[in-house]
Amino acid sequence: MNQTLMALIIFITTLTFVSLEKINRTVIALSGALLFILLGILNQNEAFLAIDFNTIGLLTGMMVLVSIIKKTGLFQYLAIKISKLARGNIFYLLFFLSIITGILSSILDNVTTIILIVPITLAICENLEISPIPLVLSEIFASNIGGTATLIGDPPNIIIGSAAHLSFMDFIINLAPFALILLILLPLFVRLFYKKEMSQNVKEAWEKVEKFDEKKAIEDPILLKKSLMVFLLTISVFVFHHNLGLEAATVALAGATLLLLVSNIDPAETFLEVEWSTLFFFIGLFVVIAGVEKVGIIQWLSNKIITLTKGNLTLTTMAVLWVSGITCSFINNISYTISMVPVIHNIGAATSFNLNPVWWALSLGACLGGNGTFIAAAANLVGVNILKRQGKIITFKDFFRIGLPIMLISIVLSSVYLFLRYLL
Amino acid sequence: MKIKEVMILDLTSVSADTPIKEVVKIMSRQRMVGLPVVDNDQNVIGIITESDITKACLPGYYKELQNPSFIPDFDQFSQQAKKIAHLPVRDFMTREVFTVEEDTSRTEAANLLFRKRLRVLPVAREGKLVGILTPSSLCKNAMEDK
Repeated sequence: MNQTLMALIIFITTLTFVSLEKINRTVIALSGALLFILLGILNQNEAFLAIDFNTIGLLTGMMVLVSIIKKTGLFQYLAIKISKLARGNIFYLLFFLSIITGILSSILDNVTTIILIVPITLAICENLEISPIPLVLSEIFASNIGGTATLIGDPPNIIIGSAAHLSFMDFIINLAPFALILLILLPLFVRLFYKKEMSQNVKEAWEKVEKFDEKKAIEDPILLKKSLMVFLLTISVFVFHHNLGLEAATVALAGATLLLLVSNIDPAETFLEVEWSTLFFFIGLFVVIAGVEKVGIIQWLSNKIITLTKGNLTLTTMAVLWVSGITCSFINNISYTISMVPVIHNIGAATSFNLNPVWWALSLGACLGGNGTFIAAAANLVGVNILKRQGKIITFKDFFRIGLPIMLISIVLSSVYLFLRYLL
Repeated sequence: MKIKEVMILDLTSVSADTPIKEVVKIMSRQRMVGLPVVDNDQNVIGIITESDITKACLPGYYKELQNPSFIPDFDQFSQQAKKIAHLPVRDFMTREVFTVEEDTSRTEAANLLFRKRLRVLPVAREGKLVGILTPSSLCKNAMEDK
């Protein structure tokens, strides 16, 4: 069997099993990577060089920072505080909780955001004696939308930022305003879908929510002050990291180290909360894609795309956006994005395109595609499972009925946005 | 020394149909932290502990919250406790029960109690309940050892 065929089989098998989630995705990615080395398609040195340590470092740094900050109770405090602004109106509650979820998700990973916000939502809903389903679903969608807004919001953006040398501010300028528009439109759409639930009167029961004491959610005020200072400093450095000649990983790891230093928290305890499994998943995938790239499959795919889109930037951008959105509704967006990065690099090398619209299309498609089905993003599964533990079952079909239209509308709006801003 | 010389001979146990309200009364009266659940033939089929009952009294979202101290009143806990008061033990008991035969050595029983963090360890003779062992009864015996 020739190497190209072997590489194609390993690649497709890896992607399929990662998306099926029947076997742990990290084990699958590492097995695929190992096969490339054992079959002689890559040597160990090539495999190690394929790992993007800027992505790995940025992820690790943010995981350490977030694991310490979440201990302070800050995020629960914010969620309760903003919920109280609703003053007994369920739609306002949905609106404020979705907005805070989206904003938090732009600086935290989506799963952490859902784990922090959904339980607060359940507590509020139980006190108001209303169904939490519309609110939790809206929060899931908001977490995927919010993640689109920044370099650190969602893994596809971390991968794209590193591969395309796009800075924190590039994402803020190009994606954050659009993500904010989607975030504001989301509750309006969810309201249309759950008209009956949104019209319930909860004015009387609202007193119970008013009694929630958000200050008691703060577990360690001293750690909170230190964490906030370090976090704000880290974000400020992110704003200028390219001007300062610093890579994103350096900034995140420096923030993490500084917080460990000032908080006096045992690093061993913090490192236990780093998602090593996710980091090794990335490592495995980087090697798998390097193997596929080496045998020429990526080059072939890039040439096909150029031929199909006739070397037209608008067509290429739209193709990347729509294919990414639909594909990432069904397969893991991390593996998809890592696969697409060399394809887009090749398109750039073969044409004279300014690749930026294509990178934004990849980011929007990969992140927003996560809303299509409940298997599309880890945050969806986590949110649906929390509901399940409360006896509220959301089936694949239930999620799909609202998730697919939201995904399609957001991709349509993304097409309009990309066209008007970059392609007109 | 064998467990039969250390075990508590009090054979207080409940059936799987006993309402939780009754179980709480018995635990409180007998100052027990857990009770064996037996069938008609005195075979141990489960264990119900204070911890199982407390967990059942908590609203579902409590377990998901990082820190529920922002919730000021006792209402939710009280409502949930009332809801489960008349439900049978079988709905809340731990079915995976560790038991030891009365001829088991103290070391082996202590190992099981502490490694599995058990509050109550039923002691059986040919499968039938004849006593219980608790961490404190074992420690008391060890301290009085000559």
